[in-house]
Amino acid sequence: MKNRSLVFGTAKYGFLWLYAGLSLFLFAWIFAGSFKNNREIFRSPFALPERLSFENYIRAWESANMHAYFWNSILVSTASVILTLAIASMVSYVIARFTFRGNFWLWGMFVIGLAIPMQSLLLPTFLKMNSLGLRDHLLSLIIVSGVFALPKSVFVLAGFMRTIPAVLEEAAIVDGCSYWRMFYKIILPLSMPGIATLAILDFIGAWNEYVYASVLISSDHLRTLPIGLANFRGEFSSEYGLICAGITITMIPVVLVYVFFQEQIVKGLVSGSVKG
Amino acid sequence: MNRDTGIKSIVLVLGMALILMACSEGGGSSDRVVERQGESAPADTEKAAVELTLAHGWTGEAAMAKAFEPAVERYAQEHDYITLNVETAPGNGIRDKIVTEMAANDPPDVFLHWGVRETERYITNGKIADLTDLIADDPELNGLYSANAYGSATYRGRIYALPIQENMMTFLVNTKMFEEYGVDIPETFDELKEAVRTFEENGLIPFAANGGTPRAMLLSLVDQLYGDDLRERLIGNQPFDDRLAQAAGYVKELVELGAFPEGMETLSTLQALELFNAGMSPMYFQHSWTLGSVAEDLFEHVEVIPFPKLSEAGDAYMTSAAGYFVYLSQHAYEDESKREAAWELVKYLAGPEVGKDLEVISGNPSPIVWDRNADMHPMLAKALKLRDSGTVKTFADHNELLSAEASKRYNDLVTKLYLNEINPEEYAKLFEEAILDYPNPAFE
Amino acid sequence: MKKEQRLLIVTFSLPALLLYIYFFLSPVGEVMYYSFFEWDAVSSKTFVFLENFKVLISDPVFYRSLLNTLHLLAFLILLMIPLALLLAYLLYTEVRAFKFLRTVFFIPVIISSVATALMFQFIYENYFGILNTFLRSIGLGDYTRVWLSDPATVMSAVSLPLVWSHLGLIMIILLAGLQGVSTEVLEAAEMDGANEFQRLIRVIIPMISGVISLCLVLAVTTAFKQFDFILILTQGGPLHRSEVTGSYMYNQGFGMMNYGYGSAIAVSIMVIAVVVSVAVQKALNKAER
Repeated sequence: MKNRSLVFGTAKYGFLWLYAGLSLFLFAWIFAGSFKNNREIFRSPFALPERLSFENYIRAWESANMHAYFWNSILVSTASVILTLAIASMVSYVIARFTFRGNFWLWGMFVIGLAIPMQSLLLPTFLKMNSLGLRDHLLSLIIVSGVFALPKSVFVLAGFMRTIPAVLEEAAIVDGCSYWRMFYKIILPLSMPGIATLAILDFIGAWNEYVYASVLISSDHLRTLPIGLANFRGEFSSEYGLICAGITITMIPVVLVYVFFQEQIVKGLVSGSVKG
Repeated sequence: MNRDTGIKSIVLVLGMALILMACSEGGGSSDRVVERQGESAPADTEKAAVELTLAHGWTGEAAMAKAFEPAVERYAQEHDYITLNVETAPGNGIRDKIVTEMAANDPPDVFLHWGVRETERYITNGKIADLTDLIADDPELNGLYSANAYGSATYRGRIYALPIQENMMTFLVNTKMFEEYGVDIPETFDELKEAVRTFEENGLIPFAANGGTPRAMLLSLVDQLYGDDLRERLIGNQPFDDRLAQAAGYVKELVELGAFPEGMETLSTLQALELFNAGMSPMYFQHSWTLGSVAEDLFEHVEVIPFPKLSEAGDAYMTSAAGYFVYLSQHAYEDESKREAAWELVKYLAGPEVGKDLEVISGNPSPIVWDRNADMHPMLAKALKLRDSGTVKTFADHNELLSAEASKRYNDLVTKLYLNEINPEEYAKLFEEAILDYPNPAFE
Repeated sequence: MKKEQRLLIVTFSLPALLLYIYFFLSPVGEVMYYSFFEWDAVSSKTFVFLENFKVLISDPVFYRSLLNTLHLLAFLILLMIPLALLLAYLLYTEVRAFKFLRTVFFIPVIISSVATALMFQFIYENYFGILNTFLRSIGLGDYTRVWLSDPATVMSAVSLPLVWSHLGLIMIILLAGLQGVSTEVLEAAEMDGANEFQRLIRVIIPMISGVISLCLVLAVTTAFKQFDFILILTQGGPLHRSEVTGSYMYNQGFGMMNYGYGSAIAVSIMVIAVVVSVAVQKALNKAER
């Protein structure tokens, strides 16, 4: 018995650290590469940099507008999450808590969207945004990320709100509470776990969105982080150390945010996804 | 609990503010201002303010950026009444950018692009201005460019752009490495194969190549085999014969000898050049725009030589013809307030000042005719010396004579050839089919 | 129904409904409409009805892109989910440095896909890339490949960053599922003398089957919508070897200005994705019953 658990323990740690080690090695390689020049990288790809020169970082920061891209990404992701959650929670409330003709159809209309891959709407969305004068405008990205997240959000939230016991509402009605107050005093707080999960998932989705942004945004100062980085790679494809520096610059803030808020993020993700 | 609600409402308010910011942030496109001088502009007070958009791909690591980007900035500074919005997309990214903006019916006023092969669709749909009359009426342009510089900008007899770049294919050798391994600089194709063999046996990559290199070699070999008869064949007026497959076979031989880096199809042009710069490869055969990116410490060891000849009696060939241009959109041309300023910008970009800078600073050959005695970029000086020496004949990149679709197929076929998906005979057959199936409308 | 209630239903539904119809459902209709035309977005449209679809069903590149998409899906289902389950289970059985490991596993989820793709480019690079250098240094130089071009490896090479970047999310979801399993059941299983592995297969997996099926659905949608990695790593090339349906649509539409044909590809992606999603749902429902 003891032997067996020893074997299991070794295998367990071995496996966990093997997988973690692969990722950590990749990060370390990129980080080391960011201090090297091409000849160093060619000659000894696995060696530590010969000297600690921040030249690549300075050049990456100066030639690419990284801080502007960063704020654009934050703005687009935050705004689209707020947009999605605001309108999705309202319509989910209606779907989940009221019986009326067309209720099922309303729900079904959003849910069918779950099966449609958002990338297949790239061409018409481009043309539509263009005709609305929203091409090359961050609002177009906010709308795309916000609206395309609706099917998932309505599906999860309506499911979540259905599980809230009706007793609470009945008590509220007796108290003479309006529907609006009921919504934000009772339903919303009780749905917080689901909302938190969606907020995180939608934020990650909007934060990483690349294809729509690359088609809809053409001005340099409106680029989000993913297109900024892709463009940077296009501009300096043969300066490998510089690209490593660019990758590192874009990664550090995200990693810091996660490390600081990981409990909230994990809790948020877990609370809704399992119940929902 | 209360504090929590407080934080949440702050986040919400912040979010709303952010949305508002996004909405008020300029309702239109391309509002990036590179240079905007104050209202006080004594020299140009009589000119009305005008806003122009310029799109180009000469940014980032491309050597042209060193001369071109400062030249654009200078122009904006010197012309107070012009607000110049510059949009860039590196390298081939400019193609996707122009496609997208044309589809959005919002093309830049002035942009850099390849010849009419790439812009035919825009020309036939009236998106690009016909410059023929403007050019004819402009004395400044008279005799400015080398002969036939407008060739690839001409569509059915009309000219649609001014030339800004000469496309040459240059063969560079690192003489130090040749000495080190006791190899003679190859003059014939057999000597080239011998050199490839020796370097390969010594663990080097003989050619710092990407997918463009085998195509450049095929160009040179086909030029040598067909000589002056080639043009009529490339535009589909005459059939090819066995020699096409023969040329493809020679390229295949080099592939089989291990002349090229493994996976060259995944490399960009400048990534390939880095193999040469790092001393991993003794030879490099590519577009001349990369001359300005050759590592400085190699300058004294690098020579530019003609592509080796198949027979000693034959002619040596070098690909050279204007291949990159400055266009004016029809939109800007029709706009009375923009036309003059936009045309001035086109002429400036394709003019002598920028052209000379591009040659001297960026090592990028210009179609401008001028007295090249100054401190020319050393690599370009070597390339131009060879081209103008009278020992090589020149011919355009074959792509310049093909339609867009035929050109795309041509490039795919070369890739298939060196990746061993087709043999030289199939290559020849399919290439000829592509020319006949997709004739070049520019010559109709 | 009270008037107040009716008013609420309308005002609460309208914002979402209008935006959804205008920006989501109407593009679905528009893409179908465009698929009946030959159109380059610059000149005027020519109505060709089903011509684009006729071309599509005899287009070998389209079939290749479909197969490649299934390749992505297979990697997500057969590699990512089992691996995520295993890692989640191991984390679940009390480990030291739990938080650190969880962080390392989750970070790929939040890194932008472009950064991930660029990092993997350094793994696959021919000369100094991590993989080939490693193989050479341990004497397996014969096994080096041009990972992003070799027909035998290119699809796996572009699938791995997808697996790596989604694994953390799936793992967290599964871990949450595991934490919901009551300890009594597990203790009972231990009494039976089942070893760790048997316990995972016989007891735990059936108990979290609901969460696993959620992950399966996520895998299907991810496989059909993702082509960022491919656009950045290979653009679908060389010679369409790594083309997936999404990248093919993108290249036809925005690369070659075949908006009509690109729309036809988009319509078929939609149809296939809906069919696959429904099939997976049906299969899961059946399995649960």
